[in-house]
Amino acid sequence: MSHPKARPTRRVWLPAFFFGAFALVICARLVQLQVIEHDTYAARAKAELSGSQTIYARRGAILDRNGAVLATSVETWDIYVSSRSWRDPSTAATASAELARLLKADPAALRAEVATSELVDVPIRKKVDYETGLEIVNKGLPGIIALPNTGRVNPEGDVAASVLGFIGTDNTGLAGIEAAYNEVLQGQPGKAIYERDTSGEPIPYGHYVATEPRPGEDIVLTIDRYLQQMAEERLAAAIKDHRAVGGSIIMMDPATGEILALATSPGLVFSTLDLNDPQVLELLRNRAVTDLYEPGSVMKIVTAAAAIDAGAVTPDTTYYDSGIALIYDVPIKNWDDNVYGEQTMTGVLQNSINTGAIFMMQALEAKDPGGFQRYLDAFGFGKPTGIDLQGEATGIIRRTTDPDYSPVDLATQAFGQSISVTPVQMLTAVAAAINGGNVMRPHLVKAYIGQDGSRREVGPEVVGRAVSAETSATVRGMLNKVVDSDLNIHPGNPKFYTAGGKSGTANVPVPNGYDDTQIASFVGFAPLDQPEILVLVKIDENQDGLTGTAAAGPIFASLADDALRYMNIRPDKGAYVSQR
Amino acid sequence: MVAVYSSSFVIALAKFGDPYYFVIRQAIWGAMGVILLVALARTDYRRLRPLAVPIMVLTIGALLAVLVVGVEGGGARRWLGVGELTVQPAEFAKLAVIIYLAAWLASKGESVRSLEHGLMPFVIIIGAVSVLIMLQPNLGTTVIILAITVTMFWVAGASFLQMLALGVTGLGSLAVLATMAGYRADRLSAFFSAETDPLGNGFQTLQSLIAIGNGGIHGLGLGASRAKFFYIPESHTDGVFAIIGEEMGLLATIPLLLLYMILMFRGFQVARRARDDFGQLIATGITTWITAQALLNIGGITRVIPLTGVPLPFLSYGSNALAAVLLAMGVLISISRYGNDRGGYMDSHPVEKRRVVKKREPRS
Repeated sequence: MSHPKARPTRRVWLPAFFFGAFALVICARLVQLQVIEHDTYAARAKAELSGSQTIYARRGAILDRNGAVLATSVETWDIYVSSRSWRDPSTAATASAELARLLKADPAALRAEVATSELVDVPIRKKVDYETGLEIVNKGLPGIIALPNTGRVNPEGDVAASVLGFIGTDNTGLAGIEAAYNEVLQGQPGKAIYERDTSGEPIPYGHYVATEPRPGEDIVLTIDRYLQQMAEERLAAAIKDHRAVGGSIIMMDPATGEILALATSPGLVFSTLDLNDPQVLELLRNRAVTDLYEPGSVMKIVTAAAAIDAGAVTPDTTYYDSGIALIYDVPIKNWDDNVYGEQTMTGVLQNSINTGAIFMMQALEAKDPGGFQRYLDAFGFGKPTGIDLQGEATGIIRRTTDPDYSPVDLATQAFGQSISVTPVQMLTAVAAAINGGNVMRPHLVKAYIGQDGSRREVGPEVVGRAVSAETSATVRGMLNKVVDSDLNIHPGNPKFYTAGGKSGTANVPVPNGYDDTQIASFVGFAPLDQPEILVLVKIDENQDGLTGTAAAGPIFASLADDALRYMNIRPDKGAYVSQR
Repeated sequence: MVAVYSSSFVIALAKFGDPYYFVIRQAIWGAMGVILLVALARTDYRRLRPLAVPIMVLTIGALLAVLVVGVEGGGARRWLGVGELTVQPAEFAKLAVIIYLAAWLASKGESVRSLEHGLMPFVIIIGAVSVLIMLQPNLGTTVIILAITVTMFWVAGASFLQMLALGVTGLGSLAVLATMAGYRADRLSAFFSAETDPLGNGFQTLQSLIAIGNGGIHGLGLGASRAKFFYIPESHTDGVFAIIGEEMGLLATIPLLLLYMILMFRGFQVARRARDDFGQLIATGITTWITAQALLNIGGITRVIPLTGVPLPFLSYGSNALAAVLLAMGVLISISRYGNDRGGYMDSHPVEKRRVVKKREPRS
């Protein structure tokens, strides 16, 4: 049988040619990848391979003005599980059992969480306390990654919670001072850089480079934790006693604008904070700076100061109250429908006569047209005070140029309607009226303390001038006559200290008029000549119907007595003085 | 010489499988493969000719079996297995197709140029095998089998027109297949726009490029691959070229490519010098197989063409693939030995006379 001979064929070289050409293309591609673009790919590899973990800097502490710690950070651990490592069922079973025991969790739930996550490193629990975390680390369980973190603690409990605010899981402040001063407190986070595999574990021979975190600065507040606690307790008691829905007590050093105490309700309370509650946002804002109200008769302080400063009236200027003032045929009556007859300007404040406030405003306008609202601007109404909390409202003044302006607005503004203010704004304006005329920037931070111990003071900041020093002294005298007259015993008169003050009882404006609900407030200062404290007590919607004088006045009086004695201010009247 | 290449590559491979699990397994299969290689190299390849039909039947049977009782892995049924021992029929199917086709084409002689005796039966045979493998699904192997058979058909003397017709239909059906299956479409989109989805579809493509590019000219050093720490999926199988590129750089990748080219050159030389059509066609088929698979793999890894998921011959971990490749090398060496036989041993010792002939393909 003959054997087939192979055809002499050159045909094999055609596929060889194609393959060779393709190989050349690949060669060119390799040169491109490995020589020409090597640097690019090397950089990308470095970036891909470099795991970086943020090392949170120690967050600065928040101290009260005397150095008491209100918020500070402690070491904690963030626990992650590498989902890749737990893909092996036996590994997952043993590791999850042990981890669940230490974290007091359900092992099956942990495994499910890791299995269903799309992340390589699944965050299991953040801010595990230091001892537990250390135990987990020392166990060396497979697939478990523990990273240091810090947790925030508030040694004084709920005191000043609404001022301090809190931080989120990423160590960023979410409310209060923690948010407003986040940059200062947080410092500069460091970075651990290492080469890692895709399970996030460092590759044995990868390089470790770490930039050291720079710790944040400590912040010293102007808040005095004792005064703060006092304010909070008395506010809570007042809300309960007067069946109110909320309120504020703010204590300020009128000369510097330092806030000594700032209590608001509703507000943030650490012990009952539930971030999953949909209503929680209602608690996070500090209503003393974010919420507006019509101040009512407290505004007469400003009206009087303006009229006196402009030389339109003196405390002894008299006018005749007929119980009603006609503004372009619109009758405006007194709050108590009384007819007071002939009154001095001091009497207008003592009796809180609306027609008297209108008289002052008209006298001022007669002398200086447009002057009243210019004074309102000078006192800082209608613009932010610059207080160092987030979300400050500007307040609203209905201006003569506004489309819906009526001359009635100017008249009602004289006694605190048609103008809305924040509690802090009102307090700042009154401070200017009694401190010699300076509009101060209210502030909560007194100093920064760097990590080297250096202390930088935040000095008082004069934003502008409202009235002259003489006017201011005159106004102090008039306000003293309000609480310390011979006529009657005023509930807002402290026992041991000379003082001045003015109440306000304002209805809550609603569309088309005013509601039956009211805001009862009182602003007072003491001692008379060198005021150390200026206090606003504001009670929202008290159901017992008491006026500002009756409801808020006594709170000011007792607060002034207690606070000033705590502050070692020598009593200047009453039993103490006579005993000496 | 080819044996030296292959065995040295097997040793080199040991460096790339990192847990010993792979190394030991690969070494065992490698050793078995080498023994078979030597045995086959010393065997007259013409003995395979009568076995062509049984081998083909066995292969088709195995391919069918895979579809029915196969083990699933990575979204495809590719393995037949009993415990530790798994067989991937598709790997051996390539060799079977080559042998069968060589026997068939050789028996055709000049008649391959005719439509009814050449192109039509040819298309039916390779079509059947391709469809079976596509059903697993395994696009890479299908592409390689198509490349092998088309090349063999060409070498067997197909006309230019036939080749053109094959080329057009082949490319057309490939295009349809490539866009049909979800994961294949993903790979296509990874090829064209890996950057848009660096953690999903584009992950393997991008990571391979980064590994190779990071290697530079000299590489990071043997064993110093960063990418093998899970960055490149299947780094010890399909992605081994990327690891080589990362660890040893351009100084290894270009020579490696060159080695495949030398292998191809030698293979086609063997084919040209083969003493009979059967040997010539087998040599052509085996050479085309190894070369096409190597280029498909490297081209995919370097993003010259889309990824198809075929192992790199000799280097990738994969017991079946290695064994199949080594077997093929044995056959190739055998053809080479007898092809170089100038003493007329082959002619004086036809297979039929040395053995009891059971059955032969009827010649037309």
